[in-house]
Amino acid sequence: MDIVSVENLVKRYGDLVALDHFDLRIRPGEVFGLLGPNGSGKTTAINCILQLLTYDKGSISLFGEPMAPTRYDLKRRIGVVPQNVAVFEELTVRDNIDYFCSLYVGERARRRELVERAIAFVGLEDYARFRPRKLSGGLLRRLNIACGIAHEPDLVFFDEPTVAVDPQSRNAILEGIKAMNASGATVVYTSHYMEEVEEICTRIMIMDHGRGVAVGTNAELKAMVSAGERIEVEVAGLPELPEPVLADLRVLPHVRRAAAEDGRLTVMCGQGTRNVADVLAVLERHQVPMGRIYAEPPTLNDVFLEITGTDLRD
Amino acid sequence: MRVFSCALRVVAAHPAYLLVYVGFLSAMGLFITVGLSLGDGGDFEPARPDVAVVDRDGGALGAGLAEFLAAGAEVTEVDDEPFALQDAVATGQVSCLIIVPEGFTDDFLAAVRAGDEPPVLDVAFGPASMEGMLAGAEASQYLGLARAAAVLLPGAPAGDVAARAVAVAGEQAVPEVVVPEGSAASGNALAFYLKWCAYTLTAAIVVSVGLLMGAFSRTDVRRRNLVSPASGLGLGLREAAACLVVTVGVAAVVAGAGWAAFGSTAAGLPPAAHGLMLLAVAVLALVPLSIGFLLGQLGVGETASNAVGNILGMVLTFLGGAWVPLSLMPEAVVALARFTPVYWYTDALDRCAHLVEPTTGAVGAVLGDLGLVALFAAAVFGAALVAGRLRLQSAEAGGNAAAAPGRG
Repeated sequence: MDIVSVENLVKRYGDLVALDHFDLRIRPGEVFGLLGPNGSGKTTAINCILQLLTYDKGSISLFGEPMAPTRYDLKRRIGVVPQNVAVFEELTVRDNIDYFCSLYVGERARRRELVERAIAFVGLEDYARFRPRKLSGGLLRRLNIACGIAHEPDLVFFDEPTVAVDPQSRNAILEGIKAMNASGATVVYTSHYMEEVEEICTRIMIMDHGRGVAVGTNAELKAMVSAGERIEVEVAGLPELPEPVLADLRVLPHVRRAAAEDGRLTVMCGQGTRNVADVLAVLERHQVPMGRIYAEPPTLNDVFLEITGTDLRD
Repeated sequence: MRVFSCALRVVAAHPAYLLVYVGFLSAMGLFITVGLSLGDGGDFEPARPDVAVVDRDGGALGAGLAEFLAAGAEVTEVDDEPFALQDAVATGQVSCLIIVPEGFTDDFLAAVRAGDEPPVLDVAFGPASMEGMLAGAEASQYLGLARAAAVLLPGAPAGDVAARAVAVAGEQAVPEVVVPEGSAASGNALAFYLKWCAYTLTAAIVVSVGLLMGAFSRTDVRRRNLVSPASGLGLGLREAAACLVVTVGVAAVVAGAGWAAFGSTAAGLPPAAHGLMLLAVAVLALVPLSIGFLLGQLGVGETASNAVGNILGMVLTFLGGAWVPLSLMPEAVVALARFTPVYWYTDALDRCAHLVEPTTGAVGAVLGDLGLVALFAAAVFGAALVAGRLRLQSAEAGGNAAAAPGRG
């Protein structure tokens, strides 16, 4: 049974189609990444799933049950961490978490336990009596997360939770999400940051123009495209690499482009199993003095670029 | 769900507002009402002007005049020098300066007994108040009595004439203010205070309710509430209950202070009048409640809530005639005032303050006024509901418009 099942979802704004027959299936225990540029429909899709938006066509099921605005039994199993910090300025950290937890858990003793656990989970023990205005940006983000997950939901939506967060807090947040997933929660994670998505998501959907253009694991997505490694070699002793060397590199089976500039050779490859070895062999044959060598596998941006023709960060 | 207690905590987190808007403004209303002393009984205290008598005559009438004036005024010594005399009047040292010219006593008696016009005193008044005029009138009264004595005692010396005039002048009635129970004046102080407090109620409730609703209407908090298993109706009802508790609390403090301070002066009013006054406060409180609710629905911030509460409170209270009687206003202002709730509130309070017998007609008139006030509140509340629904769909609140392409 899929935790989230969206079929043929259509959301229109006049002539504009925000979601164009969008399909989505998320399995239990996954950390599912929704990746796409602004306007691709990520937030619209999540808002429709959460019943914050109406939609024109399609169906949405959560935990195998049809989702509706009044399905409070299903909503009770969901946690949401919005992109912007959504807390009461007037309440302390503990009171904020307690309030949002109280929307899901009525029993006071149980709630007290959950609140303390959430405070510990995000590492805000020393700030429990503080009001939000006294917290730094990173601590506020952690409070925002604690308010969304205190009731220990089965399914949690994280909408860009690391925007404007310092590296230390960012790492803490990502580790927290992994821990939550390890304890059994299914996570839906939207982000602009490909590195984060690659790091924590077990499956990823790339969205563009209201559709899911590709879905799979990190490796599966990269295998879908022809792009391979990007190889860089320092050739410090040779400001100008001889043209015959470049010519020999360009005729290698998977090399798409080879160029040298400022003592650095850059070779863009397609999918292949011996790309690095082949390039190094050519350089050795021409007795090119080599410094450091880098080989980067294709990124999700390369995948996105090849699939959609635009850069993910645009 | 802790919506209710959370809402009250939001308001309680701003104690300065409660202190200023409820405590300070109520106290201000009390002091102003006490200061105006609106004829709800008490002792009569005649004014005692500062007077100087410069007696250049040295006769009996001049001395008698000084003695007579000393009973109702503060008699001050002023040097008989031109500059000193001018200075005393110009600087307000005395409200009235009376100069008894040389030979005045003899000339006065001779003229009166001969049936001629008597000589007059030189009198100058200070510019600061009307008290000097009062002292001048007293001096004229003394001379009138002296004139009568001179005629009645044709051969009497000046000293006897002056003594007779002073003795007769001393026989004065003692004024006393008596306010019978149930009379028109008995509820004036309480009514004035409650009218003044239209500002207190408006500012305090608009700001408090605006803060409360604003906290729950913050875009992401609202969305977080909406995705929870709590029903929108349940959340709304709890927020409304918290708003109502805040409103009742503010109204209770404001009204309680009024009755504690002026309730005894209004003891002559029938219980129905007290009940209607209390009802008037409660109904008026619904207006700022609905305005605060509207501000919350519009997502107005703390500073704007304060601005709206204060400015609107002052404008409505002024236009309602709570601070300045509308009888002093131009016709256009009075016409405009009729479209404000405080106008009908003050009208209701005036009717209550003069309610001798709670007849159906009298009570009905008050209830009619309060009905109009309630209609104002209902209209604003309706607008708030519409505004809230529109905002929920707006881009700013993350509604449908927010999800339009281009927003991610």
